[in-house]
Amino acid sequence: MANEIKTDGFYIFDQPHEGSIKGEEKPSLGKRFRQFLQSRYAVLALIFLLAGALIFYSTAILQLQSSDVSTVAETTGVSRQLTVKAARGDIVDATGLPLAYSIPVNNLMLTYAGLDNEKLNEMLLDLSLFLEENNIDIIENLTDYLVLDHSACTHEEEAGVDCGVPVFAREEIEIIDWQTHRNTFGLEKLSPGQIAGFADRKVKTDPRLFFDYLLYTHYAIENPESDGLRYSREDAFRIMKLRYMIMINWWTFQNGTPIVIATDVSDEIISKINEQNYRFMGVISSREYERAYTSDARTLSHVLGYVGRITSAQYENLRLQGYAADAIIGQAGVEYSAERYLAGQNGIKPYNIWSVAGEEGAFYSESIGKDAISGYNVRLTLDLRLQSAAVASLRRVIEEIRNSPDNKNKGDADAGAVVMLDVRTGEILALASYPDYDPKDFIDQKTVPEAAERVAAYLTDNINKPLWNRAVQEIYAPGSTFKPATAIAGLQSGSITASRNTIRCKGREVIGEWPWRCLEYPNTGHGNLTLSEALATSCNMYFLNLGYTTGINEISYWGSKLGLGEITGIDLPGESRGIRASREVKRVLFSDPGDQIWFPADTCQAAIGQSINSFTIIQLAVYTAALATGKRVTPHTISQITRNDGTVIRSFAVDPEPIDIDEANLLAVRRGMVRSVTDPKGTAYKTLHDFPIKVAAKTGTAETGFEDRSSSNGLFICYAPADNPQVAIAQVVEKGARGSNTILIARDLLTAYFQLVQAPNGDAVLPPGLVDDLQDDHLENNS
Amino acid sequence: MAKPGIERLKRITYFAAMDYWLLVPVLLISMIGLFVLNRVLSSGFDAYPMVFYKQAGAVLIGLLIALTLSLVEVPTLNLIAWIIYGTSLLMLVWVLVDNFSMIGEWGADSWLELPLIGTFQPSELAKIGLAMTSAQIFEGMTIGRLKKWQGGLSLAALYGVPLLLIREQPDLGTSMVILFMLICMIFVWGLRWRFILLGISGLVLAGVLAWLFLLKDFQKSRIITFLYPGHDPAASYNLIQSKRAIASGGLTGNLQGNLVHVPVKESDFIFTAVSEHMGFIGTTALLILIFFFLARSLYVASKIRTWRPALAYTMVGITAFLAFHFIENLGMCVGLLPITGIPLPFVSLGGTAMIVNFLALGVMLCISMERNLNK
Ligand SMILES: [Zn+2]
Ligand SMILES: [Zn+2]
Repeated sequence: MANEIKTDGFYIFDQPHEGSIKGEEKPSLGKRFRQFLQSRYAVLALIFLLAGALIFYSTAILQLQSSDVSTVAETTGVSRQLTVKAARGDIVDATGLPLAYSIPVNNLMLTYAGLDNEKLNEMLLDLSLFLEENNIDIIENLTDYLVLDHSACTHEEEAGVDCGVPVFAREEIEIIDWQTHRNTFGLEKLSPGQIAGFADRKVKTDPRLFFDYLLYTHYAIENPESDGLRYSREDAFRIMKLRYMIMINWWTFQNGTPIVIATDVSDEIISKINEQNYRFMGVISSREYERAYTSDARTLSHVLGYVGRITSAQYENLRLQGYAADAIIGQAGVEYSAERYLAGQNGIKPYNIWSVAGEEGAFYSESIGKDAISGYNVRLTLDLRLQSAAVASLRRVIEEIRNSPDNKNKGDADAGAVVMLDVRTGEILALASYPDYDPKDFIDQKTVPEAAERVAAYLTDNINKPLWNRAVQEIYAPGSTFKPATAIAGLQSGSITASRNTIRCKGREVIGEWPWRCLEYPNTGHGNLTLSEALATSCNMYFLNLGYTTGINEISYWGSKLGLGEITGIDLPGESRGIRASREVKRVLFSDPGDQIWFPADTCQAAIGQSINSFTIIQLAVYTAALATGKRVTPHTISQITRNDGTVIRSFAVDPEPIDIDEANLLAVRRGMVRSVTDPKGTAYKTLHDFPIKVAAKTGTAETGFEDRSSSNGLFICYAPADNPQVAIAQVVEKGARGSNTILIARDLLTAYFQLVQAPNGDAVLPPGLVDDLQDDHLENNS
Repeated sequence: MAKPGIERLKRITYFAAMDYWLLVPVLLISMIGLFVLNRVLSSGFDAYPMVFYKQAGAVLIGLLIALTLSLVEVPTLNLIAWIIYGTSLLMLVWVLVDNFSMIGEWGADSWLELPLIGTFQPSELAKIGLAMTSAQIFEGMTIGRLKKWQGGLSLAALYGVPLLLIREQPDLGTSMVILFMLICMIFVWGLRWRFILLGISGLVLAGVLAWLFLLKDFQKSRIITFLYPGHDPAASYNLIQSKRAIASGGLTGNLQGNLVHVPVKESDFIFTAVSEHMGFIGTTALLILIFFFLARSLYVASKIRTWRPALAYTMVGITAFLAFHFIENLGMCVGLLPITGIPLPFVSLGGTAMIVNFLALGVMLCISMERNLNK
């Protein structure tokens, strides 16, 4: 390769291999081909050609051996296959109570049987009368436009036989649009002075004339030349209704897609029709499944979600996974996130129809048909009893706050969310978001007008956003509930220690170049405060000082370790990440360079849970659990996927991840949180001090920046029992004015929870006498 | 030493330099495709005839692109390679990002929605880009500009990035095509036989590992369906119908056509329609054209290999992925290979795939003409 040269960055050899530089003699074709055969390129070519030969052979075998069989069978074939929709899996609560299930529905369908006009009309009338006899409604659209009016007839003799006047059911403009539409009749508009007849293709504004057009011309139900009529007017109209259904679905119908003409038909009728398939040629049935929800489902709306018709964007994504263009799929909640387990596999059912030729055509062997495989069942981690308590309490507390306005509370609380999870596993025991919705409405909207109205309201209400899961999708400034995180940051970075942590509240002080005031004692100050006192009273001055000395980098770092502003990985769709205040985030968040600068006062604001800090309620719950156990859990609502026979296919337990925080530091913070309940000066003392189980808590009142118009948000986090934590709760009431206003929700939930928990030997975990107390308490709450 | 590119075109006319042995088979294949598609689409396709005109337009645009590309000089081709590779990577990343924002946890999507062009699979472009760029590295190793380990690392990087990006998308077929392409290129580059044997056993191992850890459930189900027909009703139904449709063509094809219902007959299963409408004669003609085209490409590559190795490797890479598409699609229709959703190049309905295939043809023509010009 000595003579290689470089041209334009390309290595080339100045001697073309074949020695075929212009003027030199070219080797013969034979020689060139032999050269090729000796190269590896030929090996590759050979492999390809071998594959080609195999394909050729397989194709030829199919084409030449069985050509007679297949062509004959195909040309008379009226055998088709139908997709059998799989039943969607059930969703049950932690104790196995059903929430969502599937109910079978029989559909009656018309398919293309190659009948001629006359036979088709006869069959349709026969079918129509048969269905009427059995009180089955026929799905049809013709009467939206054209009806037979019997109001003027006497009906003395044979009722309804040959009376009734055709009348349009719509305004004339709409009727003209309808008649001229390309997908219906495609009639031409009348030019001025023209008069339409029943046999031409002009618009007919006289309903009687239009009726005759359908009768004699378009559907050729009667022959205008013969004398006398074959059908009564009502019968002819019956035929028209079904012919119209076929007409507007013609394209798909002709290609073998059946048209649904009746739904929810009893098994008895279905078997009658199937037995007489020589009579009802082209009429077939299929069993479909529809989603159904129990009345309890409403309590879990945001966890459960709802189902709906696949959207075109979803269809593009899921087409390859076997979804049909009219599939019903999960659109929110667990219905969405567990779609792949719930969906099941559609089956295929071959069916034969009697054709004119009378072929029975056992064309498909039964083995080609495949049963649908119903979807797997989902067991939730949520307990319906706790969930009901959460929903009821959340709603009631919001109402109470609204009804007791004061100087800070404008009485405008209207929304909220609460999450209770097991701190040991991350299992969500209750998750409520208010306002909520009824998943059932999404099913009923086809049949119940009120449900359709409610669904429309769900989808368009941008103020209350009932479909919005406020526990997972919404972010809130945490307010003082963030202070334990600041404390952890201060302790871990060494600004304070578990034993030496006194900071003086002077009432007024300039910290970080900004003047601050203590909210409780603006003039005198709290004086010297230990960490646990500061957490109990929630003194801002303490945490402003602590935060300022600790620095935003440490606060943000420990915040993220505790799960704040981090995706929790909850198995519900649309989780927000939240915003955790830091220099970088502020730079990215704001476009104006002046807004991007991090001021020392920002650190102070961030330390008390303001600034740009915004988290989801589920993050606050994970954070509370982390404070309780020193471990970060992955919150989840699905506990198991099971088969119908109960075998477990998948469990979703995820081990909690230990966080590197010194136990002594955690203890110091926990002490403060307990003290906010036990110390008469504590922010949660009033509502929780008499609660029979020791609770560790922190309230938070978060300014929204709109305090001139609306109240601040009230937040609250807690875990219990304080000494041996089992559950953590995080909650918010939008415009709830104070965090302490909301504590009752947590108290109700804890009451419900500890009533349910029993030790393995059947004894209550609670100290003697406590269970009765709790029961009384519960009764009080209910009354 | 002749000057490259247009300079030389001045001496030999463009028409004389054109490689008709490559161009004509592809044109005939597309003609068969359009003929059959017209028959399929005209019976009950909603958007007919618009959808057919679009397809015919795509063939014309593709042809124009191919002819334009065949005029390009070799150094420019080098640059184009990197542009194609880079663009495809950007698009793959875009698809990923797009997906994160759009769908939750059930699998991703390998399609991109582009303005004007419509849906587009960037991995198609990645295949061409990879063939062209990695050919340059293979050349580097051949002529000693790159050490073996340098070349190996570059190749790993070059292939690794798109493979990783594609792995995030449910596109089993594409990853297989790319691997196949790499293997073919390594093979002609001249890996020793014992390494090849070692590689094959490695691949078997990788296959087992992929099955255990990499493949998503529905991808596995596709493979299982192939091994055990009847596992997935929809897929085995497709196969049965596909065979029935092919059989219905007989010797000369069925005049009425479209008698057997085959899902996605217009795209993945277009070969069944070719058989239905044109019979044994039609499919045989199509197969001869396809495999002549593939063999011819390899022949050209072998002739140019000692003189411009990069072009030879590019040719092999592109031929390999087209061959994979052809063979996999045809094999799937007759039940020899699993159903993977790879359309038949130059035939199946789909404008962007058509244009990308013609883009590949353009590169091949350019290479073959480079050879003709230097004879
Ligand atoms: Zn009457
Ligand atoms: Zn104070």
